[in-house]
Amino acid sequence: MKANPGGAVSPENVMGRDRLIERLWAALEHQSLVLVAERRMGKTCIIKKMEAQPPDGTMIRVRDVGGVSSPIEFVERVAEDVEKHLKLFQKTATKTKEFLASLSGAQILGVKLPTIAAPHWKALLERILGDLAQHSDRPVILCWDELPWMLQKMTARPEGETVVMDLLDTLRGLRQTHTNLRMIYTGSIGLHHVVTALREEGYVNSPVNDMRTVEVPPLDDGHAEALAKALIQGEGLTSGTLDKTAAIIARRVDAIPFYIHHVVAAMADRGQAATPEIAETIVAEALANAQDWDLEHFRSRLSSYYGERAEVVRALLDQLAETEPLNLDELHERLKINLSRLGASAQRMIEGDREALRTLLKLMQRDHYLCQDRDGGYRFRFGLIRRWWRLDQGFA
Amino acid sequence: MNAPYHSTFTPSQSDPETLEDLFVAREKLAQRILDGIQESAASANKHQRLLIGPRGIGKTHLVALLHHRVRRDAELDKRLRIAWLPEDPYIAGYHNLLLLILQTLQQTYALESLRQRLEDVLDLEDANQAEPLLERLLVEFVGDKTLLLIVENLDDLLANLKETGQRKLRAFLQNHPMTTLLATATSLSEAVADRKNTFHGFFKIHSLDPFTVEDAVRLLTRMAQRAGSDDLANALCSPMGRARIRAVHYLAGGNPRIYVVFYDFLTRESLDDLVRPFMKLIDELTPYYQARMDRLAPLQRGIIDIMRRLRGAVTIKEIARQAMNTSQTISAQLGKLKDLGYVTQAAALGRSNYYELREPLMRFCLEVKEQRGRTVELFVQFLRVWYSETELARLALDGVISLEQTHLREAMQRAQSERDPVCSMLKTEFQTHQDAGDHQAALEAAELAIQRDANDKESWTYKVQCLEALGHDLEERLACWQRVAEIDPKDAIAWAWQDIILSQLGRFEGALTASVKALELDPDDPILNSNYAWNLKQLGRYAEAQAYFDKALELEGEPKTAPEWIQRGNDLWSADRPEEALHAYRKALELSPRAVDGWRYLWDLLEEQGRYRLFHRMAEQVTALLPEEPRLWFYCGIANRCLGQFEAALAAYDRALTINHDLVWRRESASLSLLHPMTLSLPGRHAAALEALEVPESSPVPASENVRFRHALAHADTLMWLDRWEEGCAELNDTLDHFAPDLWTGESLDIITKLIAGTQNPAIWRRFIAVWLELFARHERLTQLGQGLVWRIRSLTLPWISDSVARTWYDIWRELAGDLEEMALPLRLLKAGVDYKATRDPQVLLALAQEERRLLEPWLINLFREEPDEIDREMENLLHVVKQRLMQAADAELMPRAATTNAADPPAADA
Repeated sequence: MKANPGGAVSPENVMGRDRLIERLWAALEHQSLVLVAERRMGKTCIIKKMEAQPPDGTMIRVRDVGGVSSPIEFVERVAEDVEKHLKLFQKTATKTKEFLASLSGAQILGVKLPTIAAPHWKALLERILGDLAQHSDRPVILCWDELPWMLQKMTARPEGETVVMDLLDTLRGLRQTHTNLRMIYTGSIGLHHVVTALREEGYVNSPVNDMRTVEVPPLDDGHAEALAKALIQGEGLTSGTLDKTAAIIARRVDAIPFYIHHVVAAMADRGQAATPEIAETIVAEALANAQDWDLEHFRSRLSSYYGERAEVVRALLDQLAETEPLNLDELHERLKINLSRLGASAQRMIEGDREALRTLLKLMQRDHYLCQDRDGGYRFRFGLIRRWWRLDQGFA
Repeated sequence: MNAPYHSTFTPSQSDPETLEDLFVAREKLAQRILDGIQESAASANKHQRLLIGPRGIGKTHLVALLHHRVRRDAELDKRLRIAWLPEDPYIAGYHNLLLLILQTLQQTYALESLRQRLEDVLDLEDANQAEPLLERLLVEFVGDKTLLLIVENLDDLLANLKETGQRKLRAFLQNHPMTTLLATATSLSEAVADRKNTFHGFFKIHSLDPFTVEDAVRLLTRMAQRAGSDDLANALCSPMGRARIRAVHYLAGGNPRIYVVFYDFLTRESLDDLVRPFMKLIDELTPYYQARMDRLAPLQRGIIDIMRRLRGAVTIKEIARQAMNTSQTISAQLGKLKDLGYVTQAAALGRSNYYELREPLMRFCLEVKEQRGRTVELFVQFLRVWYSETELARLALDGVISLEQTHLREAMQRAQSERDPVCSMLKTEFQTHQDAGDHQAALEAAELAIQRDANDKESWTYKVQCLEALGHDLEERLACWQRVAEIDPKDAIAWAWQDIILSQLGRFEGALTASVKALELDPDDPILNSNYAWNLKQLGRYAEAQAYFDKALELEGEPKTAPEWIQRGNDLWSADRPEEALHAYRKALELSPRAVDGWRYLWDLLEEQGRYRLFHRMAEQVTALLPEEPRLWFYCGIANRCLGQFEAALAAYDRALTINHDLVWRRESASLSLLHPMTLSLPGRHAAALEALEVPESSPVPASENVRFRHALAHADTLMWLDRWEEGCAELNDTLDHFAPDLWTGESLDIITKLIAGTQNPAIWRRFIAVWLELFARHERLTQLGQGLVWRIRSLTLPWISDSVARTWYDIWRELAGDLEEMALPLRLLKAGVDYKATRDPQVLLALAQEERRLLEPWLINLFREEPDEIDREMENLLHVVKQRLMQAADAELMPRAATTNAADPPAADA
């Protein structure tokens, strides 16, 4: 297996995810899922592996809906998948065809629905998925990758927020109506950002509260090292210290698969032997050129994620970059000591109730900046990010 | 012989063999990408690669080569469907892209059924319905194979797709993982670079680096070889060929396409054919660059235009000034232009960042619009770079008015008023090599610069610096300085250096002439005055010498620094004012105890003055204070040798060599390489001495002629001591014959000390002295022998030379040389020395005539002085001050660490 950062990884080459996938299958027996993770964790690889290797009799269809920009287009994609599945079972989408016929007498041509059907996307969706559920005695799983992206695109259209709210509610309704229907939402941006934006437009529902949220973590150390080793060997790099090099790579990039691929690819590009020293050098260079590994994004997105509170978030990250772990009290104390360096809004927040700070820390955990240990101490979720933050802030 | 066709601008049209032959520098990358394609074809792993680099960097060549290699591999080809999209296709949306891919596949694989199905899709009235159908068609026709999609100018394609199309494309690639993409782009577009955008993180990005000079040489040489032009290939690989390519490298910016275009010029016989290819290059690239400019925002275009006009690297501030805008705005736009690949940061000096256009080609193409029939800048620059001023003048002699001649005249005018770019580049290289300590490479660069322009004075001075560092002989260095003086007779330094080298060669008349010239040019330079005085003194013109020494001292003014005090000491010593010289050296060393030159000159003076015990005492103490300084150990060795402590002397020399073998080797005039073997003979280890003398490094290069003489003398003498008498005598004879009388004096005759120190056997003394008298007389060198005999009266201080031994020494000399006129005075002085040793009575010296007495004073008295005098006290005081200064310096270094340590100490209980 060659290092392939960003590329498509064959399902049989996806390493270290078997246990997680088992958990996901188990959960899907009972409910739908929202897969969350920081970018680069390998969500797409996981769902592709699930699609390629489902348990016997389970139907799962994974589709990237990032290219979809309207509800009718979404319905078309769903229809395509349903059609494929139903053909498999020699069934037909009876309800769907009847509905279409009632609209115009038009037949479905390929998978492009007639224009006249566009306003009736909701009804179509209900009928399509109804057909699907009806003809399946086992759970049918539809996995939509980049769903949040699609929803964001839709909200950009006129009255888009209303449409998106409707879509999410419709899907929720379908899950509740058809108990054998399962959905998996996943994507590069968190769905909560889309929902938060909708709430500001008056949306009060909870479109995913029936779904279980599962975080995709980095690999465990053993699998991360195994991945690094496999890639080094796949690239044909000489290494007299293979185990040690693999361990260093895994450790330095927090066992995140994308970066493991990156490091080994960089080694192969240089054509050098794979040694711990070279691995360290590559990681150090990547930290210094944050753009290569997309690390700058962790800083640049703060404003869009946290708005006015971004300044406090930065201050918290600075404190933890210097010293970690720190509990809430310690963080609060340190921020107060450095209060004069912050703007008025940040000062108000810090001087006020500690609860605002606690809430913010929770959000930061959710957005994978931080994690909390058993003693309540907060630290950077990823050592890699912390190292970069320190370097960038000049702490190193 | 006609070379196979290689299209400069469309490598895809070149035949595979040409592609392979002309592929340099990137084999590793090509193999990596090919491995990725193979894995993509053989498994569900799909690699996505993006090659980034400016126009002409070789992206298409690489892609074409890979395409060829893939098709050549039958097994791999079978597993793939390859769609190599045209370079600048019409793509208005995602469906156009799908259609294009299918049409390309249809043409490549002659799939008639696909053609028909495509026609059906095109017949659809509702274009929106086409997309899903096209996707299905593509999936169907690729089937179980892998689609290798080759896309050039991906940045343009993605821009045309816009976000909607990009997302659809990405979704298709994700939903149907059957595609491996090999794409190229001139820069990272927002679609790929921006984290929020669709294709961020999708590709493994490879930036194609510009060619190095070596890559360019390799490419051009291969082109020449393919064309059957072996002469040209050899010329390209020659040092001047490489130098020219290096200069062209600047114009090309490492862009392979430019080199290929330039190659055409190398093969042309006359200038007549040169302009057209240039214009063709410009014509073909201009629309492309214009289109790129049109894509920029107005302010960005303005920035590019300003940078083009200003030509060199410029600061943000200057751009802002020219644009009449704020630095903040310009800085932000420059950041964007940098990301888009239009500009690059050239340097950061202090707080200013300098930016320049990334592609020189772009600048030239944009300039053409303004030129409008005037000269093409690129072409003029090429002429300036490729041809020297002399060559341009020769070409211009064939005067026919034409566009080519216009460029030639422009190039010649520039040659006369501007610096030669190749020379400038070579001098920069010289400096780089010099700084890195690679004097050989620096010499090559200097010689190339001379080859380019033999009248460039600076190149000659660079050359001589290298010759000195590499230890080339003095004649070679002299020749360089003479050339500098020919080019610029007003260069005082050139004359001064000739003076110094001629002195070292013993050619004092010539040295005087050179120093006169130097002084005429700069009469108020104290060093030149001092040098002139020195030369006068060498030639016996003492009164004149004195006047110039006094003038030098006056011009120097009051010294302020240690080096200035040392120079003052040297000048006073030259002016025969040794006591004042001692004071000057003392002042220098009080200011800077680590000034090794100060110690050197001070001790040389003490040695000359016969103050051996003081010299020894000081050397022992100073080496204890500064044990890390090898040269001090060397002098300590000399001090021990003077007192007859030969083993201690050898130990000190060894210590110097242990600390720094190389430093001592090169710097000392009476080098360790000579003193070490000579000292070995003194306790009678002649065999070891001979061995040491015959080691190549023992004959130091470049030595002065004096040192060479002493080396030869020592070798001959050692043979005689080893009872290879005839051989040694013959060598002594040759040595006296070979070396001119002017460059050595009796002072150089260490053999006399060796005789009296090495044995007290009168028979052996007689044997040696007799031969010496015969050979020195034969070569009319008795005066020098006499001088040596007088100088070596100093040997009478050796502990084992008793009064009676000294007396016997005199008696034998008198016996053998008493009737030689040239030896009369030396014998008288020797007797006085022997008598003084025995009696310590100043009356012995008073018996001599005044001018004879002066030859022995003050050193003879100092040799046997028991009681310390003023000089002893002054030197003791100096040692005291030096010790204090060194201790203070050591304490100062330790103090910060002590402060830190103390901070950690807990407070006292009663604080």
